[in-house]
Amino acid sequence: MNTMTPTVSAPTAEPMRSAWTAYGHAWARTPGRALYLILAFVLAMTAVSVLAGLFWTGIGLLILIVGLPIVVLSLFVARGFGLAERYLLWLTGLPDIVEPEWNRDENESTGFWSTLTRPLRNGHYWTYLLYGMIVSPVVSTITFALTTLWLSVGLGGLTYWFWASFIPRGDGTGEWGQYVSAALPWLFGGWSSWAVEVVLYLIAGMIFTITLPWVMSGLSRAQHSIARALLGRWPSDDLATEARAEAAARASAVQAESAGLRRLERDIHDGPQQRLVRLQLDLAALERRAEAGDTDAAADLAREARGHAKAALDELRALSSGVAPPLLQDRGLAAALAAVAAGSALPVTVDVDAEVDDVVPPEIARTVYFVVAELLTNAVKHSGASAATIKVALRTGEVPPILDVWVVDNGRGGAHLAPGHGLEGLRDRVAGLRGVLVVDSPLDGPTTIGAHIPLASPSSPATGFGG
Amino acid sequence: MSGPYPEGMLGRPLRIVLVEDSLLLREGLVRLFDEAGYITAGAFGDAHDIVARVRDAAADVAILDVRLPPSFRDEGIRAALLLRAQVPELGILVLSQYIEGVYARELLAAGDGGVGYLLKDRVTSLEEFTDAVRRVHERGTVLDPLVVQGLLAGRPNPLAALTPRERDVLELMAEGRSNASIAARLFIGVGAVEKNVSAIFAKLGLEESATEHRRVLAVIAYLQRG
Repeated sequence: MNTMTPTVSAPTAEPMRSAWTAYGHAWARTPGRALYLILAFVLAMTAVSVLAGLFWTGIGLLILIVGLPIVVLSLFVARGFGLAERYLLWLTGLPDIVEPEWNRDENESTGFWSTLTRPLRNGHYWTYLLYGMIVSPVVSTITFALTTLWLSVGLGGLTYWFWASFIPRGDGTGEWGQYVSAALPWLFGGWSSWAVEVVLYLIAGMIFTITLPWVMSGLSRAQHSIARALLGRWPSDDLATEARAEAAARASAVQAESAGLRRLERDIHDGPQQRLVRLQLDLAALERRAEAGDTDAAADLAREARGHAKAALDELRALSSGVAPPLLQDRGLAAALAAVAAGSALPVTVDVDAEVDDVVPPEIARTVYFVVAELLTNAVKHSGASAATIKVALRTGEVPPILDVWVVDNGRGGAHLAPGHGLEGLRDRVAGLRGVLVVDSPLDGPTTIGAHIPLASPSSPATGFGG
Repeated sequence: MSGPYPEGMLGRPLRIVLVEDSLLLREGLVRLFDEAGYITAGAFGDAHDIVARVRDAAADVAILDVRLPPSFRDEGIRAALLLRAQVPELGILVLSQYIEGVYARELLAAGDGGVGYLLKDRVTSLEEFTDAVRRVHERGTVLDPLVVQGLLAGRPNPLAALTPRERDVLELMAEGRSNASIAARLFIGVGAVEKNVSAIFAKLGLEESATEHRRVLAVIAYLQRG
């Protein structure tokens, strides 16, 4: 649906002119609104017959289980009619009614009964049913009556002189024009009944026509606000959406983290742990040889044991720098990124806002570090680039402030987010902080990858500047 | 290689101050100093008031860990730079569980030799350890092979002109070793090392420097330029 500009007759410095302009605008909207009011009535009549039929049949059969699916079906049909109503409202040019939250609780069980009865537990379905079955038939009957009254009197009155001449008339007795001219002799003295009728119809037609835009506008607005109250979003929907975004962010963070932890566990198990077991074996053997006085064999074993200890240390060092890069811990993000850039096979320009280290909390700094490091590795491996740029900037104008991280290379481009691709993992990591990863990599390059991360910790939105 | 050098150029055992927060390692290192014939003039768990402590102990060499209380970040590097400025005659050896190129650069830039930066693993060899202590005490420079490897990684192009032997020599030079030490390591004569060094400097367009420390600086600067 398009978002139409709402017609608001706002008072301005030139009241006369703007009043005319507003009136003109209202006229421009009038055909659409009149059409809406008529079609809405048709829709409401259809809806009430279908919905009432379904719903009450369902209720009647509830005692047999088959009633339940029918009630649920009636809710879905009500949703469909509500949607149709919201589409029809487009004709009025009034603001769109925003889609409500149809799945308010995502983490519900997915069992058969739970899935079947889910609409029953969502208030929106019931307000849609209420609207389609009771409110809209009543309201649109009234608005439809007024609409047809205004249209027929307005158009009919203005053209009475034309079409009435085709209607066969009697000799004038018993016609209402006569009574009017008799009742108001000072005004219509000596007028024929025909002339009185034509003039009065004309006046009524003019009055109804002039007021037509206002009436159409008023009726449409009344119906629109009722529809918005019943078919639109509730404030609690935003909370539900927010909670869902939160849950999604948490899910991807948990996913990324648990994958990382699993890998770490495996690496520790395959590496240092095996080394230490072997070291223990060697030391036990060494002890036996030393007790037996076989010094040559003991020295050999000691040398070997030292080799294993050293290898275990090397492996542990590699693992711990994968978990928490020392320089990042010691000196912060700017220094760590500079070191990453210096260690890259590409010439890398680094531009990091000075205040970043003061405001970026450690968990975000860690993610940014790994994302940038991996993007640079990708650039070296896949892009064929000859230079790259890292830029980290703080957008303090936003609430919460946003950390913008860009990695740009002049390579051949064509990077994209594909399932199972490395970028997907990075996107999960960024999403875990409620940020977004934007990939812009046309064929022939350049590749620009941006991570945009809000700096407020999700649990305490008031404190923008953590850690 | 020759054995331990407990006496250095002073004709008496070297006095060493140790700053290491882990008690386990502190005890191990003190035992190692004893074995090497050094005098442990002080062993501390943090770098608080380090300049006064080093002066009181009349130390020849200070050996520092990088991560120290209170914040366990780079206190050891800061203490080393402070000591370099305040006690210029002191030899300083930084030992750490990890190697950062940034720290190596800061230590090198701090003064004219007498500094070293090694992985803790290296001290398990008594010979390597005493060699490193002797070199920092004699105003030399000691860089961990990992620092040099980090500098060499990913930039093969400018070094493509070097022969494998010259590359070996370059790495050992960057670690701060003397020609004699390089010769012993590679099992070649000192004359051959000198020839290789000249060839390297010519190929890379560097000027030969008077002192070992300057030579290290020149090589490191070249490698950093990429």
